[in-house]
Amino acid sequence: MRALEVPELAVPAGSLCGIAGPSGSGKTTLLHLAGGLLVPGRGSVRWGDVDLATLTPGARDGWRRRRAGFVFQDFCLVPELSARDNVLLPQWFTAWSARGQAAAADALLAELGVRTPGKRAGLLSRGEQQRVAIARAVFADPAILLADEPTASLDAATAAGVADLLVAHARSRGATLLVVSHDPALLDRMDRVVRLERGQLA
Amino acid sequence: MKLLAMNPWPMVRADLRAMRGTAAVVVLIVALAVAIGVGIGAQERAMRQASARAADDFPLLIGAPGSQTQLVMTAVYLQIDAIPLIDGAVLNRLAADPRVAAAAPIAFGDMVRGWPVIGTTAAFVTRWGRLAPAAGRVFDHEAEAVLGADVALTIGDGFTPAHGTQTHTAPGEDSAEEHAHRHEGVAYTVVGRLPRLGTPWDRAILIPIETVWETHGLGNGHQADEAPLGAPFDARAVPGVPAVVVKPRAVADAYALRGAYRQGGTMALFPAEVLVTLYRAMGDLRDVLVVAAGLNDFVVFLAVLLLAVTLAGLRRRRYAVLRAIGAPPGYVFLVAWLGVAVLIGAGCIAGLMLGAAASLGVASLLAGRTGLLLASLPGWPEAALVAMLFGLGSAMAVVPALLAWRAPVSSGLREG
Ligand SMILES: Nc1ncnc2c1ncn2[C@@H]1O[C@H](COP(=O)(O)OP(=O)(O)OP(=O)(O)O)[C@@H](O)[C@H]1O
Ligand SMILES: [Mg+2]
Repeated sequence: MRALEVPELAVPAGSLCGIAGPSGSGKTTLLHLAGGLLVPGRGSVRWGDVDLATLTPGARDGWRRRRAGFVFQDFCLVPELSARDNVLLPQWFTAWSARGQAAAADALLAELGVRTPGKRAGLLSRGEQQRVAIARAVFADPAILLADEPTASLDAATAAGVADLLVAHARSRGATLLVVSHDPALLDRMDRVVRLERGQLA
Repeated sequence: MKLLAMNPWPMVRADLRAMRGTAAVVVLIVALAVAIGVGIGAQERAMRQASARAADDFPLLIGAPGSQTQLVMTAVYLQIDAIPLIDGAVLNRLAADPRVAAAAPIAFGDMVRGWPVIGTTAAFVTRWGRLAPAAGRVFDHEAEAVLGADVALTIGDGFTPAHGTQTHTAPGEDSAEEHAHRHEGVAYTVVGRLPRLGTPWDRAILIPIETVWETHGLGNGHQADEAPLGAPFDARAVPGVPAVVVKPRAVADAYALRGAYRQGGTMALFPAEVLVTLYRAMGDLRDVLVVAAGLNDFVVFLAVLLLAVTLAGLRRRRYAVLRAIGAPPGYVFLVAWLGVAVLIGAGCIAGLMLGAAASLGVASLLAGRTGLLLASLPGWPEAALVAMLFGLGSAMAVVPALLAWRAPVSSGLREG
């Protein structure tokens, strides 16, 4: 049995693409494929000239770190680290010190409406936590933003704010945005929405 | 070249913070396990060294035939038993023997406020010239006394000994028992104090052998009443003594003397050799302890390993997120490994300190009981043991780290 069978899905660079569909239809699987967290059993996942399916695992990690930013439904911050350190976390994957980036992280957090960069992420409100997660995803200016139900655990007003940030950021940086969502308000703002039904494009 | 190409410590700190309760317990458990091993090792070694040191001044002992251990325990460690006497004439025979560099009687039987009173010669008090009194002088008349370093009397004090050998566990106090057995009319005066030796002799009161004999109505061992102290003992019948310590001139002499005095109503032995035999007998017990301590460490480490594997399992989601935001598997490996290694390291260091503290405690307890001064701080063998345990622990911590390293990202993200 296959979770997902997609003949072809092309997303133009810099466009915003929503992925909708019932639970279990393969939306998260598609997103994980797009981000190189999964390799397809068959076929390819191409971003520009790069086919993720043929990269070595190490090269895929490197590609993801440089090119992709992930945002999750339940944020997945490290609650014991400050908001700032959550944003800086990916820097420590490739360097001993992230001190030089701290000011930039604070500035980005402020821009996204988080004014307490030194506060532990676990103590922030849910809306603030999702903003920190977005800051973490976009800090390295990735060409691709991947978000799995980024607003599903937020109330409507907060969700709208977070959606604004995501869309605005993708637009202003010319990033490609792939968003899995059930939220019509968020899907409405996409250039295109694809539907999945039982692992097939509908 | 980028030497420090990644920094796992922020995540290690966050992980330790997230599980600080568990972390504290792990450190405590590891510390206790390590402390037991360190304590046993340090104690055993110190006991060996201290007892060997105490035997240094007793190259060859001659006593009445009987238990060798009892003779050594009585004469060297002053765990005094009533042991049979040998003919005092042996002293003169030894004095005339060309194989003997020096010989001195050791006589017990009296005590003062729990401190054993020991009769010997002035020459042995100074260990044949090796020691000088820390204060005052060595006795040169009957009824004069020299104190071991731990005896709480002062120069000029006078005291009356009591018959008996049952030393108190806490010397320094009068007891009704002693009162009942006082040698009334006998009074000694303290004239000097020896430096600390770190042996049971630190709690002894040393008096001339002549005075011991006199106190028990046996004469003074000399023909004249006012003869100078010490050898030769020219009385027609020299009173008996429980033990004679002999310093042979050479190694060959030592063996010859031991052979010669193994017969004819005496027993001769090298205390160091008796100790070795004792150690060998105790060796089995020690091996059991060491094996038990090792097993204990192993079980504790296994438990910690299981805990670490469980914790790594619980953190699958957290580590998958790290991978999703770009961490290479090596980073996750380091975070998972260092977290456990730090805990084990902290436990090892705490265990070393705890073991040292416990050793010091046991040492002071033993010093109080036996007078043996133990240098029982953990040394290189214990440091090596701890280093080995740390190595073993960090090697074990590789297991959960490998699990974290291998964990698939996509399914990890679906957990929790
Ligand atoms: N590791 C896996 N092994 C086997 N089957 C899997 C695995 N992961 C997901 N699936 C299956 O693949 C299908 C698609 O799952 P996926 O998580 O992509 O759905 P989804 O559209 O994101 O659903 P939801 O809206 O509930 O998040 C499901 O039937 C799921 O059970
Ligand atoms: Mg999903």
